[in-house]
Amino acid sequence: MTYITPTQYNVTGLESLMQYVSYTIPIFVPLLLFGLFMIVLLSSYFAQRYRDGRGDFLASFVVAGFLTTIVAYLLMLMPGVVNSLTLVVCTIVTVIGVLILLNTEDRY
Amino acid sequence: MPEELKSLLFAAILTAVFFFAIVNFGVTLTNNNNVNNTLLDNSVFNETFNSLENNLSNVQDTAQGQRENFEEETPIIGTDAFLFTSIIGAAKTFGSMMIKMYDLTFGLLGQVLGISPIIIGVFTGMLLILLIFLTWRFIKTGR
Repeated sequence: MTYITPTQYNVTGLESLMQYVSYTIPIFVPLLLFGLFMIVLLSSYFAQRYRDGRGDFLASFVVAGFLTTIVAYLLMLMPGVVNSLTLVVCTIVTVIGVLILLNTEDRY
Repeated sequence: MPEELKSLLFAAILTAVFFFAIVNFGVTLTNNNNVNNTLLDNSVFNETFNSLENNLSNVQDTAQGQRENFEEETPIIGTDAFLFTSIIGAAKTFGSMMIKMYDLTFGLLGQVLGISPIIIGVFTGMLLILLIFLTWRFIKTGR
């Protein structure tokens, strides 16, 4: 497969650079968001475990979901960078996390 | 069981409000920056968000109406009727919110994963039967 070059895509700034990357490799932005999600989830969980001796995985999951959803919405300001499926999946993962968190007792 | 039911209802309401808040943030952000809104392109998402918005507006109107009724009613004669109406109204709102969140979650999962609507329908039917049996057990035994 031949990728188009940034010159051919007429990359002039950050927005067009992100659009070029998203156009060339469509899976890039979802992977980026997934990586952000995992970083926030694991860092929150292990930081709590280090500080308090016990980690709350569900709370960390919800926090990571919220942060990833907000970042996805901010990326949505650049047209063509994030597609609607990615936004929907981010929102649904957060909603499911909130549902499970609110319905779970004795998480520790 | 009443405590569990109460916590379940509150959880459903809170989840609906959180979902509405998150999506509203996205919609407001795109509107303020004059960008095409891709968030509401998905039909299931769009329909659920709009109906949640209407539902939450109706909750405010219903609460306002109930407050006015309460202030007009004489406590000795009308208390039971007022309470019954309030309970039915609140239960209808909570029930519709729970159904909306269920439709959103499983409808979108079916769309994303390509699951046939028949399978989701069968699963929903099984859940409903289970709920009916649980409700019957609750009425019969109190647990």
